[in-house]
Amino acid sequence: MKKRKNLIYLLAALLLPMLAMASTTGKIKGKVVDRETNEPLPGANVVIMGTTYGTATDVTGEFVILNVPVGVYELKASYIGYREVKIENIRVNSGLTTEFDFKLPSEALEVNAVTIVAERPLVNQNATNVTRIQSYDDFKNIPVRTVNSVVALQPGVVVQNGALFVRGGRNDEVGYYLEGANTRDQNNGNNAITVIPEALEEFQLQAGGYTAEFGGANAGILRQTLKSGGNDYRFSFQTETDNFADRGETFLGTHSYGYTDYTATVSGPLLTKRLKFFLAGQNIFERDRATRFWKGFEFNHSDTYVDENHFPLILTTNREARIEALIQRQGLKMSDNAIPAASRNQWIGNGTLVFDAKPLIFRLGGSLSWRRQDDLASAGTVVGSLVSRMFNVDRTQVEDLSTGLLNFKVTHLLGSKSFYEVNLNYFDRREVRYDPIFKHNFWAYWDSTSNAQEGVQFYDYAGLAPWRGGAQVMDIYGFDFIAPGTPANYTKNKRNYVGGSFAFNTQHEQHELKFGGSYERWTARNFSLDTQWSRTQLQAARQNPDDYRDALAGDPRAVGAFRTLAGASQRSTYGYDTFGNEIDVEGPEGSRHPYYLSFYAQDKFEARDLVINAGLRVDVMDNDDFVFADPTNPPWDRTNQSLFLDQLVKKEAAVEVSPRLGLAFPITERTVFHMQYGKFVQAPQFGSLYNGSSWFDALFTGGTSFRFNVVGLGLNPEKTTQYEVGFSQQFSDAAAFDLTAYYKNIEDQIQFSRVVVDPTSPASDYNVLVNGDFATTAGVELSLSLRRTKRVAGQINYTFSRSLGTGSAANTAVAGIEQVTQVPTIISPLDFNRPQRGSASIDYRFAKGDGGPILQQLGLNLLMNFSSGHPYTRSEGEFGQQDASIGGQITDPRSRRPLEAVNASLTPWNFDLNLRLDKTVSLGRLGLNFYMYVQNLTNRQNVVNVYRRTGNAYDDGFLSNPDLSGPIIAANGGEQFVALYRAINLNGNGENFALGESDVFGLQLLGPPRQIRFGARVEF
Amino acid sequence: MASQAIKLILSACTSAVLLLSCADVPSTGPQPPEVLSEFRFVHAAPELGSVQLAVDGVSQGDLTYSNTLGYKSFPAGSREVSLSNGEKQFVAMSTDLRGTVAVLPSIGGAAREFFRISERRIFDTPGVAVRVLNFSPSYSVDVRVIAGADTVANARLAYKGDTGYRVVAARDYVIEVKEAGTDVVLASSPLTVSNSHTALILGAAGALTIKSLSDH
Repeated sequence: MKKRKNLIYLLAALLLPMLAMASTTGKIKGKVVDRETNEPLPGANVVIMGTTYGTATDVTGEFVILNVPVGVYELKASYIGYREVKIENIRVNSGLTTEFDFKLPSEALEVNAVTIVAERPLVNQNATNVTRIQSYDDFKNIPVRTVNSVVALQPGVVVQNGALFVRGGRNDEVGYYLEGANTRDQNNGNNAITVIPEALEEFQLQAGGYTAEFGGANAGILRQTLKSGGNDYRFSFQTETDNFADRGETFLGTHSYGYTDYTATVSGPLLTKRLKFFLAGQNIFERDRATRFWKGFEFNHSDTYVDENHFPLILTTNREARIEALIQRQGLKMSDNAIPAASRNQWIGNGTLVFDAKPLIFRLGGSLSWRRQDDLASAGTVVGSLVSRMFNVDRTQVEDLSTGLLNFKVTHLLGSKSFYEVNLNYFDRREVRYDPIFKHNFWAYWDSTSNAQEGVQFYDYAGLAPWRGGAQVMDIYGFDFIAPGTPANYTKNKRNYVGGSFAFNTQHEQHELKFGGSYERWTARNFSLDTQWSRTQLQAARQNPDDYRDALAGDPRAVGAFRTLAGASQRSTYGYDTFGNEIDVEGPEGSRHPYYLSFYAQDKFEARDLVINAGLRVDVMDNDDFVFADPTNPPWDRTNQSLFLDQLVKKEAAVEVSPRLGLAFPITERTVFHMQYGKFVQAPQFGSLYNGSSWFDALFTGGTSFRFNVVGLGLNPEKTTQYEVGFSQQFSDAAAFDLTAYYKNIEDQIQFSRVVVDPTSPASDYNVLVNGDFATTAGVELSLSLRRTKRVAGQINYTFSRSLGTGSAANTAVAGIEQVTQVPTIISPLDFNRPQRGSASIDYRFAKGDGGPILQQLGLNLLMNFSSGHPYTRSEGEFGQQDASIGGQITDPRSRRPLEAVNASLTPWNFDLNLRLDKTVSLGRLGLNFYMYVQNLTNRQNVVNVYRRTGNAYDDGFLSNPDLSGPIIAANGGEQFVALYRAINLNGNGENFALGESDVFGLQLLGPPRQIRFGARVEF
Repeated sequence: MASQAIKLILSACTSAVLLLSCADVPSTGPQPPEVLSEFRFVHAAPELGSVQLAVDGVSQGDLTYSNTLGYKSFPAGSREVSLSNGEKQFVAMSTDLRGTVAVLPSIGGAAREFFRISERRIFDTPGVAVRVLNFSPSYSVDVRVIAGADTVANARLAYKGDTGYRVVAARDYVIEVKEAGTDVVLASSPLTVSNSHTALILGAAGALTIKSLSDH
């Protein structure tokens, strides 16, 4: 036994330097007293029913149970000579203290067994920052389906164009944890792991002020904890669908998007009561995941022009007759709200396995997901729009993505007051996008023989258009359509980390001391091959077969030649050679291995009227990137047009110290005041750090894009200082509000910059990312909660915020740089600042046995969201080099001129109303729940973006301005061009909008249309 | 029971790690195309005698005057063709090309030429056609491929001259070679045409022969 203990201590000591992660447990504390005299009862037993957790009270009658997994419990206190008392429905939240006192009646008193049903406290007495906690039971009745949708309802959160922003931070500044392990995709800052709502025990959103235990995220932390199995076997199955109408048709005035969702959970003991499991699985299929307002059109061939929907579809340029015949045969046709080739199929699995062998507890938790979807931005960059694919949907690019997180935790209880835990975790994300016919064999994409064998006939009449990512296009009255047979691009990437953490936690009187740390070592690779290069590569191999073989054999000269041929296609390739083989070499060509190491110590002091949470965190961040010894004189070999790789200097790891201090003043049991101060740092995302040697080679010759794929050279961490004060007040037995104000100062955000090289340098000036943007954000968050009273419960959230900064994203300054003006340092509203935002929900529900057989267990939930618009800048500009179909937009920032101060205008307010109706039928242990929910009940067309020229979502100011549009219309078919322009750009939710205005595919002018889903759930 | 539980947890760990790789994202690139060509070799040098022929140092077999080494696949690119007498030359074997290399006579002590001609792309279906090449340095010739009304002719075919493929009907023909501009028949040979054929005029003055090869 002693040997075993020594081994454990040794293991802990070894793991200490590589240190920890966020806890997924909470604690219960309280006092046991005599009901009559209020005298403390030392030595009373307090146990959590159905578990092995328990403790005894100290001489003052107080008790603490540490390391209690998140969940709902029944607590029992017993003492000799006294009747036992049970408290049911006690919820334990991650990282927080749940407090309950027991008053035991003497056995001499003739009282029945005492069982108290605890109500969830409306005010958390010991939180030193505002923490939004939602369990599955809290949100299962509201008319949204995903966890992300629930997070979006929380105060301080803004979701704009699909990205999540918290308290004015950029969207890559939010940290995500599942089971205490980091789940953030370090490439772009998004959450990489999907949790099934039915598998979620709770999530906590801490919009700021989190303790020293957490790091690597400047704007907020989303912590998710999975359910654990209980003592009884439980099973549930749920299915829902909107599949009640054919594509383009309506049911109840609403379009169907072919959505089906099957979810099952199973849990219980395994072999023994000490080993418990929970498993959840989900399959979601969406036929049309591009859910959007879309007005269909149908242009059929006719010999003469009839009207704007019937005109001769004759190509405006002299193309092959067979192409013209194809278009005339098929016409141009799209149905309302139905986007072709936009399906998605995803499978998700979540689970936990817990073995309680006190004093050791083992917990395995994790998530796996796999999805396959049609890539909406398929084949080409400029012509990747949904409409442009209509003649080539069979070759829509396919995307496969799998993610996985596995966390293994061992907790060792050292008596009743101390424990330590060791976590080992592995995260993996891998993605590949490919042509549906030839999949990974990109050599065959453009091989006419291989295509002919598959029955594909190239419409290779016009050559490739490099500025369109190599796609072959058919020009119909100025609108480009991808030619049939055009293969997709090929990209693949892998990102994973191996991590570990250690945390030691001890309760000493009123102090909860905790120290620990964490370590993550990442491996990142990226490979891309656009459709143009896959063709060029094949040609190059055929025309220079010996060079090709030398390159395959690894000859650096030959590999370099192929890389050069790849051009912009492989600027962001690293960790793979030019032929898609994984390589691990030193320098920018190889895979990257950044690591993040942290240590922290914190002390939470909890007195009756004062809670102090003080901590210190040290982060060591090594980005595994490179710098130039002299950025103004980069080691550029003009003769060979390449970089002297051996003269790149490895960037030193950054070390940052972040103090955190939180105070809470529980003035009464119903009133708490808190304040918080903290410094936060985070490493730049991989997407801002890594490119391959091809990018470096092109950097000094003007061969790189001035705004795409630009990365930094030696970026430092971004930093935030945050202050928060809050006040929570329970003003009745059932209602409470909290009011929180925050102020944040954000520094060293990433921005564009141009390095002007030394006049003697052989290199040209170049664009890079640097630390430079800064922002200040402030706001007030109000949350009003109404606990269920009789049949009604409700929640109102409201946020008023003001986010100002020098740049909303890294590329905000690119226009200024390209126009050779100063990088702007003007403080302006940030793009994602929505000054007012909120939601209100009301839930009216009949309990079991209430309202008679029809109404009992019937519930109605209404949720309203409202938001002011977001800032934009009214602008004007010339037509420039845009495609005719882009029309009124000002695609190129170099020709865009603001008509007002930056972001001085606001888009319109948004409102939506959502409804959920459900009815439960109980058959013994079996519960049957039938439900339907409607999102955007009124089918309101919320304007979420506008054209810069007009500030309008329905008119881009092109057709109405003859000076601007006249020559373009005349050159592209006159009335026919105008008809297509109206159908595709103006009536069709701005199909080309995303391609022109923002360079971000997926931007829409209007929010989602009404959706109705019906579902059923059975559980026992 | 505890060890059983731990085994179960470890099994779950292993299964989960295996499942993590569920999306097929290959660690290696696709199998690169082989980039091949197909060539045969013809001995067209009466003075050379029997030699062994090698490509990139790999022996392809013995070759005697007017005989051939049949089509073989070679990695496309610049290949060194060498003879056992030490003579050698690089030959461009273009990708997907089916061709013939003729070892020509040495003329006036100059370096011997390894002459490359092309039949077609490997994957193209051969047609029914005939071509004639003159590998005799002694004459310019007039060539006729005779079959009544189907006769095709080509005048003044110089040394290394090529009639190019002439599409003909599948039937029996006679190839007749005359000294250019005269009626002096230097050689003739029957040829049954069923697909694509190449006829080579070989030999020195007074000893011309016609070597017919199927290009199929």
